[in-house]
Amino acid sequence: MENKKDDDLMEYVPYTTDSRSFIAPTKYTLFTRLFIPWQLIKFAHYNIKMLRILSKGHGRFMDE
Amino acid sequence: MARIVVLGSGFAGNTAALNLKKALGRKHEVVVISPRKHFYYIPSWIWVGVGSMKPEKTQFDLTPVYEKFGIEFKNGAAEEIHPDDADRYVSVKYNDGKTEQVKYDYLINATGPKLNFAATPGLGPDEGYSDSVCSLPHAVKTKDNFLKAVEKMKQGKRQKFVVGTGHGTATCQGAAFEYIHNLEFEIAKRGLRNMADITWISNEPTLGDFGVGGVVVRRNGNFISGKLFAESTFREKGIKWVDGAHVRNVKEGSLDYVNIEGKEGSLDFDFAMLIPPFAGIPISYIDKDGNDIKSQMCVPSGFMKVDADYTSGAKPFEEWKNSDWPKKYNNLLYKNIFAAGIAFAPPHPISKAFKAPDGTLIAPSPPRTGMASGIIGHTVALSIIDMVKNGAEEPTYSASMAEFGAICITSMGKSMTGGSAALLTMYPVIPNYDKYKFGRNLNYTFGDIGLAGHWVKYMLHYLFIWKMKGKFLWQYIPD
Repeated sequence: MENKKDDDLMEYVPYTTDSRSFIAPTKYTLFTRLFIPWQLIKFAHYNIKMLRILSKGHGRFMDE
Repeated sequence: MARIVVLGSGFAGNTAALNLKKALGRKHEVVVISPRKHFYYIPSWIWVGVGSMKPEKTQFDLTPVYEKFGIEFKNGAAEEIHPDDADRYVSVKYNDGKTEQVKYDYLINATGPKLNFAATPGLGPDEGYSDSVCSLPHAVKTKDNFLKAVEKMKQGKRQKFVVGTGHGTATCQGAAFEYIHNLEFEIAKRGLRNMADITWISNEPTLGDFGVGGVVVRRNGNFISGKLFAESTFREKGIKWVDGAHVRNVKEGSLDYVNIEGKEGSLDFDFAMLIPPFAGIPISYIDKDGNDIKSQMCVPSGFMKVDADYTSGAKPFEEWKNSDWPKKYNNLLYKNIFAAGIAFAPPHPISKAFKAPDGTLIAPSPPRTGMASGIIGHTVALSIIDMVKNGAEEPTYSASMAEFGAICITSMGKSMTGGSAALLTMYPVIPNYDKYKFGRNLNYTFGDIGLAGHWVKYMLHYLFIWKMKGKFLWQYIPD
């Protein structure tokens, strides 16, 4: 299955406006984003992160 | 006995109605007035728009829910509000043309937005040339058009896709961001990526602004901005972008834009999904003498004024303060009228407002959908419960967007093994540069991309529909 793009935005071109803030994921990053054992750990981590936000009480306060 | 009338049955309205009835019981009446008898789980419409979720899975009939709770449901549209003490009622028009006056003691306006396609000539699926995922019929039509474009690519015809915002003051850049990634995912899944040119156009001053002034997160020993985060995803997927742009007009197969620097440009397309700006639902406000007092009750865009500092909107970005934002969401002229969710008028944008050299305003409107709507609807309900049950004279509960956080899960492809989503948490929603170096508390502000994000998004789809149906333990699921 060919999945080529017409313009390769992953390509770094030195001394261009684009190169000043160039950022792109590495192959390792792309692999870990879909690696299920690692993502199961991430899933637990995300739920803890969300609970921490919710534990702040939604910012809801009652007047004294 | 008090009668609380809720206008609207979305996240804010339904959350308020269920919490009110649960706390007030049979002694008091809760009435919901809505032109739609379904609850719609709007965050999943981006999946409907690419054909990866059936429309039925994003909606359910509210009638049995309200019957179970003992909430009176009136399936009609509110047309007039008569707020003066001696004559407090909402005039409702039903589909058969009949009208009714519904009296209230407390009123919550949770009517959501009017999709203002008319703001940009040629914008929108009904009288224009672009698609939208902002209503369920629009999302279904968008899916049909997307699948037609897919068929053309299968026949060897290269297609141009443009996705983003259709006006300089539009909001919901996050939904458009989700849509463009899902569109790219579905095209790549079919092995057709080499047949598609995909371009993002947005009114955000920079990529990753999302109408919330951007975010900074701690990552791999660095502080990095949301701009890099968004840019990385676009590079990975080969999506080109135009930011800081106001779409001047949409024509058949092309659109014209101007950006913050004044650069004029145009984009050709075979398929375009552009989010429109929002306006308030058109409702008249009539005083006891029969005068229209809408200008006192609402800002020019039609959203209801609440306890915000609306003078701050005229000040420059550097002088905006967290205290500008509303806390209790009651109207200051009529303290028994509240606005929740998108219906309340924000005092100013969250992102810095820019103008093109010709004076065109390019300022993303503040998002206040989903989680924020639920929190505000619940907070307003708590204040009214306190006023009804304990005789409180003023609203007692507050929840300012400057004091609560938000969780945004941005889908980038729907698949349980190959999909992904960006998870972004931020605290608070409104940046506070006096208190935090980067505007927000970085212990609670976090961003990541991966398959687990998709699992969270999928989980929340079913969790929130469960909650909105008022099923077992619904009240323990957070807003």
